[in-house]
Order: sequence, then structure tokens, then C-alpha cells
Amino acid sequence: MASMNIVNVGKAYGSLTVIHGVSVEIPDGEFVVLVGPSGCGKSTLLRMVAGLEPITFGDIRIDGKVVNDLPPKDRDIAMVFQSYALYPHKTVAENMGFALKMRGETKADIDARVRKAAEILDLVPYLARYPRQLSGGQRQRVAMGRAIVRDPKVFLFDEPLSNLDAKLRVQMRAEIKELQRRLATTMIYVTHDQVEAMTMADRIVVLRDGRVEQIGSPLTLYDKPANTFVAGFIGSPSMNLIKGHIRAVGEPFFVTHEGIRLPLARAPSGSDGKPAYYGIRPEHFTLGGEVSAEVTVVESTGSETQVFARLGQQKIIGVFRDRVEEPLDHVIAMTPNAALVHLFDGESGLRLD
Amino acid sequence: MSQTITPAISPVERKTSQLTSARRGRLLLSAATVLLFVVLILQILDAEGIATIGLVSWRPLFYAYIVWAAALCAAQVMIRGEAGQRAAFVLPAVLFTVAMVVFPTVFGLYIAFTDWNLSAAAGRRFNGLDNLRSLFADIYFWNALLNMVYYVLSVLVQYAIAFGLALLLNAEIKARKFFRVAFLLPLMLSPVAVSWMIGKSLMEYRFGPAATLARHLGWDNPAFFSTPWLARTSIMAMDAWVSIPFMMILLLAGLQALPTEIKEAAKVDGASGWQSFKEITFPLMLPVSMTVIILRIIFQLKLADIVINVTAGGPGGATDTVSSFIFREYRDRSNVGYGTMLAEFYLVIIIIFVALILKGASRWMQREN
Repeated sequence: MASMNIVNVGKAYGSLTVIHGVSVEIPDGEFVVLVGPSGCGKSTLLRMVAGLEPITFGDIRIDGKVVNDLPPKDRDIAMVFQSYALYPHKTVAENMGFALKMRGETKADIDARVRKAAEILDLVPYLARYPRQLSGGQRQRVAMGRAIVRDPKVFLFDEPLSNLDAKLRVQMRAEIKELQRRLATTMIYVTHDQVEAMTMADRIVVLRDGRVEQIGSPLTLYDKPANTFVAGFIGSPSMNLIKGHIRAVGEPFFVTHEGIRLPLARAPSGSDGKPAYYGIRPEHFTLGGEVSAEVTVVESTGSETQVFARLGQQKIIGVFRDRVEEPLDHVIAMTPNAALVHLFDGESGLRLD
Repeated sequence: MSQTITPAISPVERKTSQLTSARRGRLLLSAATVLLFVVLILQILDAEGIATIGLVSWRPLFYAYIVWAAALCAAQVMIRGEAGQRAAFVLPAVLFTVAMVVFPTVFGLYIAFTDWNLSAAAGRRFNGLDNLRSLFADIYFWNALLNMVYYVLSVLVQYAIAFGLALLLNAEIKARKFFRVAFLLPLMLSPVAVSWMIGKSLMEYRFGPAATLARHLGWDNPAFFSTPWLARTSIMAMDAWVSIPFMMILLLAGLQALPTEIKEAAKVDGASGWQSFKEITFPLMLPVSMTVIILRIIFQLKLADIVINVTAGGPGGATDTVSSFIFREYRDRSNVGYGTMLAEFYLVIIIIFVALILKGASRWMQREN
């Protein structure tokens, strides 16, 4: 159990800087998810925290102590790898007890702790088996067991669920979350899947190209994305970002490039005529009203209907609880809920508020 | 397959056509077999001088074997259909092996039971078990066989050194590519060249640079091939110099195939360098290690060139290997019959020994995993 400070940490390979001074403060017991598209540096950052990758500049502190130059074994961290990295020639029990054995604990002690962890993870019947005799989900659990047996200060997870099938992933997601609540240990979890990030995290760090785009709780990120990148990345299907201008004289409204008028509840002061993005989440459309779009595809999942449409030349998506049986190429009336509109600067992409 | 493609033929017709084809195949095979045996008998009669047919060489029998082999392949297809076609893919290799490996070995066995000295005017003469009897009484052979035990044991030392070098080359060291090539150089040299370059020149005890250096270091009489154990060690060292790179390169390939995440996991789990090697790297390398050691033991059992060139088995047979002993039996004494008996006997020992090693290794690996 420990707090962790990542202070202006960066990584460069020669002249190529891949992480540009990332700072994250993680209080004790928090579940932080690093999320971003592939190549954004999230795994590198995690490996720097683990001590598997040297830090070019900045500081990593665990419980206030700088650990930059400590080898992994002295950082008191545990890591779950994407491939699980189980030792193929050791049984489940040996895999889980390996770190304790390396620490020189007695056999009785190791056995007791392995057993306890195995009970938490429902692995008791498999303790004598080898990793190759287990299913993917069981291997995943062994990898977690190997981490929790040690009772480390910080848990690190590197995309631990990406090798599982969709159903198991949802199940393991809940299990990890429950485990975190039970152990109340600081966890850093890397994923590219924003649904995983949203469902599991206390706080999310959105990374892009080695820079922090936004840090906040899942709902903060959802309700108040700091820029168009976060707006597009968080939420599925992604937020519609429609290009156009703000009209703030009199009753404010928004005009798309094609001259289509969209409703606005309010406009930031002095923003009249400003080029901007009109951000509206697919579920914040209502059927009917004065805005109409041309339907291109309708997908129904039973519980909801996704309507892909064209607003002028720009593609938009709407999600509705009602069944929509509009023929293709027909015009459908779907109007954004003006109170839930996000406005972003047309050039910098930053939120206008 | 062909049955589904040709529905024009009724089942009855198909059956009869298959039957006739099978009959023809059997006829062909019998004819070829009869031909082979007739030629064989004629050749033997001619060679023994019982009947004079005027055959100049044994070539007709060779042709008869080729005809028989072709007929056997064709007959398989005709008799057994698709299964025969599958067999026809393997048969040429089998027949080739029979002709080039099995037959010479068996024929060699015949030579092994003859008294045949190339320098004797009498030529080859069957002498029953005499060669085998003298083999069991031959202390030089048993001495060479005992030396083989030492040489085979030296493979383990070579393995340890090769593993160390492979680990070194696998680490993030400077000029890694240079060292990789440099360490491989001895493997590219012919052992004969090595024997003369090193054994006969560098280690020559009067003027050789190695001996001179040893004298400067305070070794009074650095004769590397003078006492039995010193000579044996020198030979082992030269052999190691040539063969360690071979083991090293295989082990290096194995090391590079190990998943990095497992080693990182061990690091995070708190294993030190040595613990990580002992607990993770070495056990994961066991299959490669077994392969390397077994291959090298098989090569080592045939060790001869360095010994023949440098010490000729001396001093007093201390460095003799079975192969170099057989070589001397053939070359110095022209004793083909006895030499072949030695070779065949040694082959049997090697087969038994290697089979036992393989069996033991596979059982051990199963227990490990």
C-alpha cells in the first residue's frame, strides 16, 4: 500500500522522445488506468514505473522515495503481463510462490500464502498443474495470483485482458475491480480499451503521443472532455464532432460548414463567428425536431438502434432507445439536446467553456 | 478420390478394373523379383567360377536392383491405389538408404569376419570369430575405449563454457556482432589445420610460441604432449577450441528464442541474476541443452583428426581414440578385416550408448516437465 508520484517523467531513445514529461499523482489505494491508442507510450510508462525501462528524465516516487535507479526487485511492485509470462516449467503453486521463494521465506509460509491467494482466485484445484494445462482465463488468474501473493506496494497491469475472449474479459474486468476493492492496493492498469478504462478506473489518464491529454474520473472525462481527442476517444460510439461556426449574437446557435443550423443552449462570451467543433454524443439526439439528416446505415442491437447518417457532408451517428425503421437514403429528423452540447475550439481542439 | 470423379464407371466395373490392376501389379512385382534373384545367382555363379557367363563386373546386379526398385514402386500404386501412391513418396528414400547404408553395413560385417590384409598376397579369407576374439584381447582397443570415456566427459566442460559464452553474447554488450563472428571463427577452421597450426606449431615444445611463453612464465619443461594427462588435456583443449563455437551458436539461438516477458517477470518477482538463471533460464534451456550435448557426444565419439595429426595416439596410447586406433589399423597395418571388425563393433557400442542417452534424456525431460 503506497502512494505514487510520477513527476515530469520522460523517455527518449536517442533524439526520439517518446514520452514528454508525464506527471501523475496517485494517492494510496487508487485504481488508475492509463489509456490511449497504441503507440501512445502507456506501456513504456508502466515499464518505467516497474523499473524494466530506464527513465530519461523526471522522477518516480513510491511513498515519497525516489526509485528511479532501483532495480525492479527493490521497488516492491508486482506486475501482470499481457502474455501473463507464467513460468512454463513451474506448477501453478510454484509460479505463485516464486517471488516469496526469491525473498527467502520459509516453505510453510510460502505454502500458506499461496493457498490463501489461490482461495481468493478460485485456483485451489489447479495448484499442482502446469500453465499449459490451464485455460486462458485460469492462466490470467494465476498471473494475478502471482502478483497478490507478494502483497506489494503497487500493482501494475499491462493490458492483462487483451488475450481473453469478449465474455471472459467482461467477467475478469469485474473480478479485478472487486479484487482491488478487497485489497485496497494502489493499482496502475494499462489498456487501449476505453470501455475497460471507464468501467474499472477511479481515475483515468488519457495519453496520446507521449503526452497526457486529460486526467480525471471516468465520468468527468465523459461529461467534460478537455479536448476533441478525449471527446472522440472516450465513449462508444464516439462523440460526433461537427465542424462549423458559433453564432452568439442574440439567441446562440451553431452553423455547420454546409449552413445547417444546430441548437446551442449558450455560447462562451466573445465567441461569435469563431470556428469550432460542435460535439454531441450519439445518445444525446432525440428523434424529431428541426434538424434532419440523411440515413446511410441502420444497425439494431435489439435494445438500441444506431443510426448512421449524413448531416450535409459530415457523417454523424445517433443512438436511440426506440426502434428506427427508416429506409436508407431517407431523411430522418434527429435533433441534438442543446443542453448536452460540447464546444471545442476549431483550431486547438480545446474545450470552450 | 478418383472414384468420385469418374461416375461413368459402374461399381462392378470399377471393382473388376481395380482387381485386374492389382493382379497386374503383383505380376510385375513377381517378375522383377525373379529377375533380381536370377541376376544375383548368375553373378554369384560367375564370380565363383562355377559357370562362365562372361560378366565383367557386378553392374548387372545393380541395374537389376534399380529395375526391381522401380517395379516395387509401380506395383505399390497398382495394388494399393492411393495408399500405394503415398508409399511411393517414401519408397525411393527407403530403397536408397537400403542400398547406400544398410547394404554396406551388412557387407562390412562380412568383411569383418575375414582375414584380409591388403599387403598379403593371399587376399581375403573367411576366418570365423578370430577377429572378434583378438578384439576382446586387444588392450589397445580397450585403452582407446577408456579414453573415449574421458573425451565424452570433456563435452560437459565444453558445454559449460559454451553456455557461458552464449550468455555473454546474448547480453547487451558492446561490439556484440564482432564477438559473434570472432567466436565462430574456430568452427570454420578444418580440424586438420588446427592440429598443425596449434598442436604441431604453436605448442611445439622447443620453439613453439606457446611453449616459449610458458617458459617465460616459469614452466621449466612445457612439453604439452609428454605425460599422459597433459597430452590428453592438450588434445581436449584443441578439440574444445574447435567445437565450443558450435555448441555456443546453438545455445545462443535457444537463448534468443526465450520470451523476454518471462525473464522480466522473474526480475519483477525479485530474482537476482544468478537466481533468474538457475530458476528460469537454465530450466527453459534444457531441451536445447540436451540436443546440443547429445549432438556433441555423437561427434566426440568419432574424434580422430586432431589425435592422428598431433600425437598419433601417444604417449603410450594416452590420447588414442577408437577412431584413430581404427585408422592406424587400416593405414599402418593395412589390416582391413580386423579394422572393419573394430569399426562394426564400435558402431554397435555407439548405437547402444546413444540409444540409452536418448532414452534417459527423454525420460528425464518428461519428469522435469
